[in-house]
Amino acid sequence: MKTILGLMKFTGAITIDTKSVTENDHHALSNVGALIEHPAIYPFLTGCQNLELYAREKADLNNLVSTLGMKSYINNKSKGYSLGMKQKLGIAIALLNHPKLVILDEPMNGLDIEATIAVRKLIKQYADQGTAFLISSHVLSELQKVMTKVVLISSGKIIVNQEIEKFNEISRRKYKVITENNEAAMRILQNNSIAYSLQDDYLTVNSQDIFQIQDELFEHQIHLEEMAPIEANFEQIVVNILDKERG
Amino acid sequence: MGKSLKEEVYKFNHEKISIYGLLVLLCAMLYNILTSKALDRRFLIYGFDAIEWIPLIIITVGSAFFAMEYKNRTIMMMMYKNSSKLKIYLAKFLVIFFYSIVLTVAAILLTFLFSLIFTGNKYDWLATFNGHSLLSDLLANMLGAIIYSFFITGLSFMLCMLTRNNAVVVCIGIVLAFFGAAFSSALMKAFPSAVSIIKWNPLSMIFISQQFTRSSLMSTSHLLNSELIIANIAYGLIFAVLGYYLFKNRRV
Repeated sequence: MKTILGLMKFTGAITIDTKSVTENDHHALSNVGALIEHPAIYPFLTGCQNLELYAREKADLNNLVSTLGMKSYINNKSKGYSLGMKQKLGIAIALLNHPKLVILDEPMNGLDIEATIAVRKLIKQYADQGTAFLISSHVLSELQKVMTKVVLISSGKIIVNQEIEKFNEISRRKYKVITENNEAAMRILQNNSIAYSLQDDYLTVNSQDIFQIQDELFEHQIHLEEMAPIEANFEQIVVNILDKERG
Repeated sequence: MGKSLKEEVYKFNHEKISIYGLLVLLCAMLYNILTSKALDRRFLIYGFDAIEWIPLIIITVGSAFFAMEYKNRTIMMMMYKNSSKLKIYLAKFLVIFFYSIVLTVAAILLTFLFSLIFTGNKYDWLATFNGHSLLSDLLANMLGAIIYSFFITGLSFMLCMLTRNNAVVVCIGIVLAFFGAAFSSALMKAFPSAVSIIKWNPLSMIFISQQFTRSSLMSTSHLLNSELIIANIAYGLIFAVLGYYLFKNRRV
């Protein structure tokens, strides 16, 4: 993230909106907002002054202040802010001036539930208006609620770069099957070389086999009681991918 | 550049550091007046020794103004929000140099005020003495202080980038302000054969704040007034460029 913002030495090329970013030329970042590592706040300024320093429109500033619920303390010196208040102010600074790209590093750090929901809503609202977000977080469940694309990086290498719909297919690779006679169903699957495993009172099968299974069971007059995808936990999928990558 | 400058002025004004600097100058001048044995002509043309305090305030304020960006971790935001690092550096440099001019103007006005309060009508500012009026001598010394402030601003930024420690920069500032001239002349006395080289050392640059009105100092500094002006500006530029190089390559 720091590299995209031209804050570190790097090899290769970074382009934003066809303009290249270098360590000493940040013209391409004129429509980029960011919150990296910690909120960048001047403690001797009030929250409002911190925003005014970079705001192009007063209306935009006021809108962010009210959406993030900062009205009650925005005119206080920011040195007295709690971690959550600073975080909200940092997010507001990143969203100032309707940026085309917003880079957020652990945006939900220190936020309470209400603030987390407000930030999530704001991200969706800006995204709907055309702002692209690049968010990094260790709280995957929170990310899951806003993301439309997944990029997984391990040891500096991109190992997954997919739309969320495609990524979610990974979570539906297994199906749960319950029939009126599981014993008979297992024999049919065995005879047709269809992979399965028995879990308590149901069978687990691969998603690509479900149509063939339905056909075979129908042919042998065995009725299905249940056939449903087993949703894998998002965190578990990520851990599995990373484990696989590390060998 | 205008945008960067506007942002730096906004921060500088709100940080109140400019007010503290003025207060220090006021207190230092008052302290000098109250503890001096005689409020003579020389004391007046040095702005009650304000010319010694201005560089010290500049080096402290300058390094604090830059160091706070790293302390508050705002440097990253500044860097990506500004199109180039040079604009950030230049804007900060200009703010501090302009502040040194403000301090000098304040010192001149305070000198008038304090001379009125503590010496009454004893001195006529326009009366000529040895071909110079009191006013022209005061202004000449203050001009020297402004030129020396350019040198000090460059030094302050370079040291701030080099040491990354505000306290060290302030200590070096104190050493320069109070011992720089003495150390430089001692060095030239110790190595008389190398005076032609040693006279250009950075510690000699402080002579500029007094030599314009005290030509006898030329025998100590071994530099003409014009040479002092050029050397101060050259050193200021060299330090500023070195400071920028360090700033550009400093990890954030």
